[in-house]
Amino acid sequence: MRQGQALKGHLDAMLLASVARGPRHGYAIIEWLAARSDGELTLAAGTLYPALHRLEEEGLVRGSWHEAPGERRRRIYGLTKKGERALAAQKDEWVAFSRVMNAVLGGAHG
Amino acid sequence: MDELDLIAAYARMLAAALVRAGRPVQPLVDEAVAHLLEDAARIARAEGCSEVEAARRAIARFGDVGTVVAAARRNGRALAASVARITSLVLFAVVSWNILTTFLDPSWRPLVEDALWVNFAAAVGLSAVVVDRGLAGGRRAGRLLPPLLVINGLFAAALLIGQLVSDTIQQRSVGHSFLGVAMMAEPMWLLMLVQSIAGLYAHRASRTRDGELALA
Repeated sequence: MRQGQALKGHLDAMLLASVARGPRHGYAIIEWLAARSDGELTLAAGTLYPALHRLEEEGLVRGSWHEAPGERRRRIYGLTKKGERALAAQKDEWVAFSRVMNAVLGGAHG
Repeated sequence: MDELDLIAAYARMLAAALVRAGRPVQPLVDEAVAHLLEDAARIARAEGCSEVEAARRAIARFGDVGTVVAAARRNGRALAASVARITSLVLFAVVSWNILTTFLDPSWRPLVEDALWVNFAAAVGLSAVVVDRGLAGGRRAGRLLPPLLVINGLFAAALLIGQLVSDTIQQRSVGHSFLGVAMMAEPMWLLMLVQSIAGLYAHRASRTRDGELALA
């Protein structure tokens, strides 16, 4: 439930952020999100891939299949220029939103 | 039944469900299979269970077919954004084509009306850029988008209504039905109206999607 609430409305931003520092495949995105959130976010792969495909349709990420020797075939996703702009906009919105929430909740006991 | 059979059976169910939902099948199924093979191998290594058991756990972790298909369904916002972008491009192409064919006509002589059309083409092109950037999350374009689309939509609606009223008065007198008259409406104004409604819907949905609070 807590994860569901945390993900609500922010999945796209989290996925864009996960590929912002370099291209990643789906499995690595799930692991990155879990590591960055100290294990709080465990995204189901069945939710991740449709979301990545939607972001690709919107031109925010670009995916391509890679097959390294001795490894399984994987689809690697990278951020596009359009995705960079969208991520910057979503970060700004989040900063403004969290500032408002901190101001409201921070004063809840005052 | 081995682990490959289990994963193949899941892939077949997923493919059938995606077909029923009208969503592209192969990209998602290929990726699901690649993920399940990798996850099953990791589970088998980490937990020392059989490959079949590892595949079962990997499938359970991936999510049931219904959940995956629900996540793959195109949401209204994405569809509206695509409609707004496509109508913007079609509009720009139609206006540019009109200008090009006018200027290429050997009998063409400069008219004030032509300058208005060139201005209109520039406005339509600028709108297409603002719609594309604004719906992709661009900050400046995002602020410009709502007023631009409202003005655009009102302009298109006024032209459509004006045209329909004048055409109705003329055509009804010679026996045409209202539907027949409506079908003669200028497609360009209709496209502008669709662009505005779809763009505003997509913009609003991106602000309020999943319960996001709008900030003043």
